[in-house]
Amino acid sequence: MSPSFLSLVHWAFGALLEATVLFLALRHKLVQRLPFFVVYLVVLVGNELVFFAIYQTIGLTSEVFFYSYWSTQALFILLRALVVYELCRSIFSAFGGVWRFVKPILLIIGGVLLVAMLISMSGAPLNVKIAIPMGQRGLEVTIAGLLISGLAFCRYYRVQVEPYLAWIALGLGFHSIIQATADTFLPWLGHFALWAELSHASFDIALVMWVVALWSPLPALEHSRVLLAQDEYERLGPQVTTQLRELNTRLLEMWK
Amino acid sequence: MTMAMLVAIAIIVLVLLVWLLFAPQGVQRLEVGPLEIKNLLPVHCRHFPQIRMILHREDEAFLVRRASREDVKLWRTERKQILHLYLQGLAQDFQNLTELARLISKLSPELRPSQELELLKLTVQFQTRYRLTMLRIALRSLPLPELSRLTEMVAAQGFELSLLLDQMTARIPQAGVGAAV
Repeated sequence: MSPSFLSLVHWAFGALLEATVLFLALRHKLVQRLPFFVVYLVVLVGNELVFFAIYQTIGLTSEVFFYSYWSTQALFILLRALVVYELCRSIFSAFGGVWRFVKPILLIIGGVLLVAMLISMSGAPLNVKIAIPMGQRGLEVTIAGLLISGLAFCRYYRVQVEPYLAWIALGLGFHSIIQATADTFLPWLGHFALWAELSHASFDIALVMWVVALWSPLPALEHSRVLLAQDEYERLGPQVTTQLRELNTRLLEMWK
Repeated sequence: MTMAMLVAIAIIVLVLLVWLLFAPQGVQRLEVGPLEIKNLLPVHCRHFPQIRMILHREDEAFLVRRASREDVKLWRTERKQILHLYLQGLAQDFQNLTELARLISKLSPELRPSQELELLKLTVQFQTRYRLTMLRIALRSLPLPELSRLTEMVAAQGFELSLLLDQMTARIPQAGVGAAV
């Protein structure tokens, strides 16, 4: 069995997994809940068909393939960032007040991570082979950072994450973290094949997680929960905070 | 940064992600109703008047005059244990109040950033002080005046909190009974 045959089998396996996830997503009408995720899956499957055609006609070593590959990678990263935003919105959908509070904070965190990425890239030489992995790493870190920040807010406000959303989030986060790590390794190792294997393997694992997420029927759509009136929050919130502040002060007085 | 460090960071972030997604939460599927809300309100503070009697400073003076040194030592040790439990109760009350504050925030149509920030700040401050106080108790015995002062302070606090309990139980809307949050 030649390595090229193994690569083809791996490619076919990945494409089959992508098609399976898309099939399950369409079957469960996921487009009503996570439209960006479904668009991402459609683009993924379409991309496999296009690249197979390029591979058959032009070959993998051509410049067309190189630029097509990296352009689609940029598109995938953008779509995954949108999926992360969509996941957070979906998780907090029942709690409008919390989502309105969390959304700008997440946007600030995303902005800070992007600026940090640009700063880290500023000193790097203008070389495509170095700039692309560095840029990709920065964007993957931004995705993972946004996801973890959003989930930290979930935990803080005790918002339950539906299992299917949790598995989708895990797949996204897992792939971003491994990809960012692989992108950091690449300039050190200088071994593109190893980087590609790591990247593909992590994506295959993410696909398996998404199959798990969508295997069972999805729970019913949640509508907005019964909310307190705004004046209740304005009255009750400060009262509880005052009590907490008092308990804190008392504990501190023990030290004086 | 070495490769090993990078791999370690990646593993830590992955574990954090899994924990955030799948670890059980402190309070799960709370029901919105007076009975369930009561579970979050302070309970330990209400028993502090009894504890204050146990820790009364005249008792020690009496015991020092009448009991043997060993008995006084044993009595002090037990009193320290009571204080330990008492602080644990105080922490539990604090935890419950923060859960209540988050529940109120979660169900509110609009949150005030300053209030949410203060809640977070107070939680971090209390947890730090609580752990330091526990450490202090474990490392050396607290003098009696401090013990009594603390008891009096928290007993007063318990009274205020019980008033708050009554106010809040009356204000949480009945319409949401049974709706899991």
